[in-house]
Amino acid sequence: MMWTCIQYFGGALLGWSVGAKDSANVFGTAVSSRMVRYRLAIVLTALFVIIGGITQGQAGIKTLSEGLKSKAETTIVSSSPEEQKNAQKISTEKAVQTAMITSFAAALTITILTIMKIPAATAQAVIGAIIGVGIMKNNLNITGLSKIIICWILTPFGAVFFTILFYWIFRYILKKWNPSVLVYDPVITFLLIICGCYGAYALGANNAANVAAVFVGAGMLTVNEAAIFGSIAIAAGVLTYSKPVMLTVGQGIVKLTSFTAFICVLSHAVTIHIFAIIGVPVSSSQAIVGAILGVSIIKGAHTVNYKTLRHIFAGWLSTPVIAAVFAAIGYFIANLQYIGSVY
Amino acid sequence: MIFAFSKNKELLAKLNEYLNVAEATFNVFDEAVKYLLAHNIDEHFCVLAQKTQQNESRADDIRREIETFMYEKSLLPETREDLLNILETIDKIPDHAEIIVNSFIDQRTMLQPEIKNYTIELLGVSGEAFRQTIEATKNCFGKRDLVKELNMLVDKNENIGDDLERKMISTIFSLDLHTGDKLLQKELIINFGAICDLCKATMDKLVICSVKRQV
Repeated sequence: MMWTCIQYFGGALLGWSVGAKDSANVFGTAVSSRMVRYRLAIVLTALFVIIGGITQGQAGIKTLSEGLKSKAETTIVSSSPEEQKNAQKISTEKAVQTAMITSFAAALTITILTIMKIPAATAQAVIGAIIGVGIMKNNLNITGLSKIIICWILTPFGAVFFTILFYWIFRYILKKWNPSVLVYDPVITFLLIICGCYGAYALGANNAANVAAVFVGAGMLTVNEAAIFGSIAIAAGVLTYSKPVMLTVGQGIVKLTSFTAFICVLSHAVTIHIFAIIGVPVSSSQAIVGAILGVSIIKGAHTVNYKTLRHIFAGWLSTPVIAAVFAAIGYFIANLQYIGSVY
Repeated sequence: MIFAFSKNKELLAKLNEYLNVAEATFNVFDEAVKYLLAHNIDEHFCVLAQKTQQNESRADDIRREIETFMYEKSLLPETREDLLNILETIDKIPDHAEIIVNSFIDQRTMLQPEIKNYTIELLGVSGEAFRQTIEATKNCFGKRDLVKELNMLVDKNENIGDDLERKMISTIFSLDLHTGDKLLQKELIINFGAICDLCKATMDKLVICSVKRQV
């Protein structure tokens, strides 16, 4: 029982840190500027994360659990049934070990970078850890990895595109409607809550894979069990430790109004939902930064806080590298064997 | 959300009530000063002064109700702050009107006849500026299509008010009066002129509030 808990602890910790950190991307702006109450925000986020993870997390889980292994790992060549059975058992143990190392390395990376206040992307930490182990095993699916990296690059650009698109659409609607302040305020608050719920749903659908896909690859969980495990771990993080980040996010790169906050949350949610449907787990942090950059493009480059932006890019570049190093070290230590001297 | 709309409708009704009472305060003040210029301080003037005070007090009460009310309603924090700032600035105008009428009674001071016409003109300009400010306030929390235009009108009236104020002070200091009397007259004139300045200050806040809400 204890050993089972330890096996899943890395994934649970990773899910918890995703919930604590990424929930700010969904309701952070609304909560920090007091448009939505914190308690309401976390309850809605936790609920919709679970719904999103369970209903649409499966595609990303399948991509991550199968896509990064080369065929060689899944082929067992043996002569007798007994040898085949032993080989299968060793393979399963190795897979469980890989899953544990990957999830612990990713969780450790996110935790350390968060403590150092360096923005870290969970998807990149997980992929970095998988790559680290893959390099040590000399077993990496370059094609699958390339697909994921392309999606990483597309994420912020996609968010920029949707921000600009939604901004012009809703601006047109607002100019035609021209509501009074006393009508506009409750409407925008309502829209922020709706988009926040959608963002939480997309967060669950997207990040369940980041948290629990490695366990599916190791045969420890089925796809649906992994979706449930991942989304509950994320929800736990939201409910227990999202306050510090939620209360301070939103004004690092460019100052947002209620309207631009709504546009950012909506474009962030749409972007990561699309990738969740495609089946590629992407970074929620990259999506929200892309959305905010979209606002700064509309408002003018002079509104951007370039220092904060450089800080964020440094975090994105360092996350997979650090996770890969931790995973490689973890794999190396886990596979050390004592070879007695032979004279 | 429908619940939020109905609550904000109540808030709008209270805001309109406040602005109407503030305008009524100025109207009574205007009547009181014109009566004073025609008849000096007498019982009727004291009645008008008391009415000014009562209206000002009622306006204060409604403003405090609005401040409590709006924190319970679904307004964005930014909107609450703007509304609070604007109401606090507008409220200085009825306060000022009360101070002026009370200073006539308490100090037993009369305005010099040489500046009577200027005073009536200044009252007219101040009243117009104040009515424009009230209209702008209603429009700012409504369709926001007249704020800039009204700002220009109030600005113009404020300049006229400043000119009149200077002329009145210049006239007073050209008279053969004791220095103390001149200073008392100057203080009264400055208090009259401050009404236009307060209207301009309110308009500045309304313009910022309106521009902030442009998408």
